[in-house]
Amino acid sequence: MKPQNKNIEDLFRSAFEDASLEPPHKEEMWAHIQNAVQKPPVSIWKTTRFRVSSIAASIALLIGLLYYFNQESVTTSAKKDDVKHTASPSVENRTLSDEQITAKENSAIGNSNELKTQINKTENKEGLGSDKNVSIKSKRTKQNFNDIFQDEFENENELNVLIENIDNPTTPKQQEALTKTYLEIKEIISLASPQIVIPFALDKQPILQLVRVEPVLFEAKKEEKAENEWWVGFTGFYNHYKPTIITTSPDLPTSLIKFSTMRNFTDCTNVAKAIRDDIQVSPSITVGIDIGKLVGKNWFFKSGISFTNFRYSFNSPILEKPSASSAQTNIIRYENYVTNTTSQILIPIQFGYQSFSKSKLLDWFVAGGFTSDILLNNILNTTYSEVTYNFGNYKSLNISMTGSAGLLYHVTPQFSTLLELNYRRTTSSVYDSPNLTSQPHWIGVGLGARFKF
Amino acid sequence: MQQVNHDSEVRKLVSACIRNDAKAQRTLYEHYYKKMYVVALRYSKTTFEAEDILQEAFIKIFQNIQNFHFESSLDYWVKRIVVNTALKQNRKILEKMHMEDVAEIHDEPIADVVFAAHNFQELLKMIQKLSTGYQVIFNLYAIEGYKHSEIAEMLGISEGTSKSQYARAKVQIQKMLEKEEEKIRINQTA
Repeated sequence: MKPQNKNIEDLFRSAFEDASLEPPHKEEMWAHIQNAVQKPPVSIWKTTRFRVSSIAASIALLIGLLYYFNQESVTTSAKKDDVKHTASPSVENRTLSDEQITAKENSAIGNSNELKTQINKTENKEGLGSDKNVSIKSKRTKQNFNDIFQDEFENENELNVLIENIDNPTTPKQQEALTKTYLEIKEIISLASPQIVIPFALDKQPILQLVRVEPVLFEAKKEEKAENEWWVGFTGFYNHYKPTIITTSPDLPTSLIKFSTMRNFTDCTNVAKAIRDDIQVSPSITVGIDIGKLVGKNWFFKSGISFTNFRYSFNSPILEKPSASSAQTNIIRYENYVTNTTSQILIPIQFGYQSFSKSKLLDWFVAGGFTSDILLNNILNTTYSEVTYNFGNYKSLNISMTGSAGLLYHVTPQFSTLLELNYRRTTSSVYDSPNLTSQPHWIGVGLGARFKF
Repeated sequence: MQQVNHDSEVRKLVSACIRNDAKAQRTLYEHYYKKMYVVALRYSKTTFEAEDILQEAFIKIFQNIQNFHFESSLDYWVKRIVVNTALKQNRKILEKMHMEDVAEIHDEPIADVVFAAHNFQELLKMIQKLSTGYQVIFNLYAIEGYKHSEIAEMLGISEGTSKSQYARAKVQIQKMLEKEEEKIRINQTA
């Protein structure tokens, strides 16, 4: 047996050692090879470098904006604090030394504090504060206005006299007392509730014309529906994705596919049918960060950057017809599963409306706008490598319309969680192709969080 | 056929192909396409299939030539890619093929015949008449010279299966050779 086996192996090896044969389609093969190997120059818009640069630039822009507006917000709040201090001098200011008062006076000339500073100076020099035996204590912890008022004037009669003097000042001493009373009352009011605004006119009144004025209690500005409020947040979405492919070419389905070979394939009528009836989609995930700003009492603007990926697949069997010279007799059916996987960077720009409920626990919002979809990757895989699908190029940049609605739960005034529904659809076909159009849409349910600043 | 034999010429040619030089690629193609076409034919049933394999293989060769580091000869590297491409093309069929275990094989006694030399085209027809599984394993073992353990690893089958498939393929080839020689004898007698 063995020598015979060897004979067979030797027979074949020697016969094929230098065997060569001219293929019938040598030049066509070479043309196919050259087409595959010598790829056309790629547009700059489609290069990985451009895509990476776009993403980096977008992130840098977002960070820059965030930093810029954060700085602006710090400056604004600092200015507000200055105004507040000027309008309601604190107890500590009252105990400043003469030198300090003088310095303050110099800097305050010409502004609305001039009168108060002069009064302060006179008061300290003449020791009126001790004469009247009116003690001022820090009562920052007191919340009830009346309690504080009564505490400050331990003797109720004294208070009544002082109030009476406001109505009917008769002597210079009473006028001095009146000055004292006015300042004391004002101080107490500011201690009791810093949010009470002392009427500007009251500050400007000449002392002798002061009349008894009921403290004006302005509604304390609610937790500022701050018109300059900013937030940053992050969200994660679970999307239902639908590619919505419509075949448009009149000579379908064969124009949808390209054979890289010279096989004798039959018309692939299954392709269009599979695209129409048999598309399977995989769930899509989107994760990202967003930044928003209130631009009115309830209106807001938001943007951000997200990453998303999605996939569809279908099976379009390829049928191989036997040629006349072929040994095969039956049509061969190749199951050809096609999978298209895409990943994108999304940069949305949305305008919306947000409620501010009295409970300050739960709010809702709606928003709408556009999204720039920057393509990262689009891969079309087939199980049968001899056939490629002529879907055209997936565009590097697509624009989508987007709308969202959601609920915000405020865990703290600064931190909120959110539940959001989102719909997005491209404004035009994502493929550059004469054979088909695809205007995909995504319906997403997302969770996220926001931090106000 | 253009000659690419000298070592330095081969290196220049490979370097030019790495630079995607179309002229160098054409030279490489011209040098190998006829020989590799026969290799592809051995793993195919039709000329169409062989051309598909050859085309796909040359695309791979040009796309991966930067990975050729002269650790083996260029001839061997090119042939290896053609064989691998052929195996990939047939993988679907090979996966579906029912592979019998070696235990089920009962080798039939074969007459001790010494075969006369044959034209490679006659032998090629015989190989192409084998079923795809037998054809692949016969090629790999009898002609390429792989061991059964290597074939088993390449195709993802057991070594025993490779042996059994080869034994059956060989029986069929021997019968075909005997028939062919019988025909020759009859013709000579006539």
